[in-house]
Amino acid sequence: MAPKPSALAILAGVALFLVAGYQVITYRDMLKLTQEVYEGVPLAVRLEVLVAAVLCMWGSLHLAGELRPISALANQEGLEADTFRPDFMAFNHRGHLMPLDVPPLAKA
Amino acid sequence: MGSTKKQLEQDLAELEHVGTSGRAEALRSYLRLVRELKVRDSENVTVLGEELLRKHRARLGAEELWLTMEQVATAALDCRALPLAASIVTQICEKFPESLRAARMMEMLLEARGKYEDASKLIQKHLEDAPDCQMLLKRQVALEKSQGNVGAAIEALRKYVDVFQTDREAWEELGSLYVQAQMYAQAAACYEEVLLHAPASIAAYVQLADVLYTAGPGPAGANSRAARTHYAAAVELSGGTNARALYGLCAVTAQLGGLRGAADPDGLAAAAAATLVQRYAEEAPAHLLPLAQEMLRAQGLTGKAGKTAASPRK
Repeated sequence: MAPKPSALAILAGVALFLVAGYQVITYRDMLKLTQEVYEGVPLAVRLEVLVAAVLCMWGSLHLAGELRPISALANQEGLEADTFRPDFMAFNHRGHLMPLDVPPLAKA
Repeated sequence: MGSTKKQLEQDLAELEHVGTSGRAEALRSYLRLVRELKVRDSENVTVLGEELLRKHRARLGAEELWLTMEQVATAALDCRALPLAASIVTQICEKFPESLRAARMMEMLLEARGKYEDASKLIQKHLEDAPDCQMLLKRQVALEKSQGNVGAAIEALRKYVDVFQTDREAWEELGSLYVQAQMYAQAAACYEEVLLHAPASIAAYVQLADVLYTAGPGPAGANSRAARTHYAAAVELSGGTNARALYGLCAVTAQLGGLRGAADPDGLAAAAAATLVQRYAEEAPAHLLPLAQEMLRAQGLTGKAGKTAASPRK
């Protein structure tokens, strides 16, 4: 199976992050050797981080496939109100005229 | 009830076909589904639950066993299988002598036997120790309700929702009690609370709108207008599939003083009528369509839209 472009983008983004981190470390090592003061990350590395972030973001958005609209109907248990509220169950109803014949439960 | 009912029917059908070896599993899964979906299917739960508890009790873990016991006992009370219910409630009370939940089961047994005095005393006794026990406070309401004292039930439930304001079921129950007492303004206030708790629930909109419509037009048609808004919200959320909301939209517009002009400036009711006629033409037996059309005509809603929408079937 050919890898999805979104998965590749995430991989590239993460790789770019790692490269940027490595570059910052070597940059600071170099500064120590030349006895200069560290003032900030070079512009190229900042751009790299930015590109990596965009790649990861784009990739993770598209990895899940097409976005679909949220449907109000999807999560409804039907269009009628739930009229059964077990906490308020009352037993005085016409079912009492037709008792169900089930034997009692023996003790375990 | 949409997907859930289908799921339950599937489970029941599976119980018919499954052999003896898989039966315990199938019974467990059916009872679990009923518990989770909170449906009332007492007869099946009683018969099948009794079978599970009698034959396969050893296969249930402690938690599931006592959950099932409670479920089957309640269902048995609902079907008036009192010997079974009594035997289970006795076992529950022996196992958990201190538990309020067991006390609730005992109270429900007394209630089903018609011993309302004893049930009330039992609740009072336990409420002295635990005055904010929600289960027992709710049973108090149900106890009044089963004796037919709607007023007393309302009084008890009002005290309850004063304290537990986020209990959606309680607001729904209070609303339905107010409807029984024909106090529609109060009922509408309750269903408004329900809607606040479930703003995406189509049924909540329809419920509230029904009560507002039943209450009558109100000053300058305020009730009708509010009902119209809520019906319209239900139609929008359901994509026009909720027939009750469509009917409500038509009826409430008729209540606002017929069509033509001020009552239906945006053509909502006319569109609802057209949708209804179209759905009757597509889904209902042929003899029902003229009846629906006749009713809509009586409400002043036979616009041209109705005819054009109905015509494609030919």
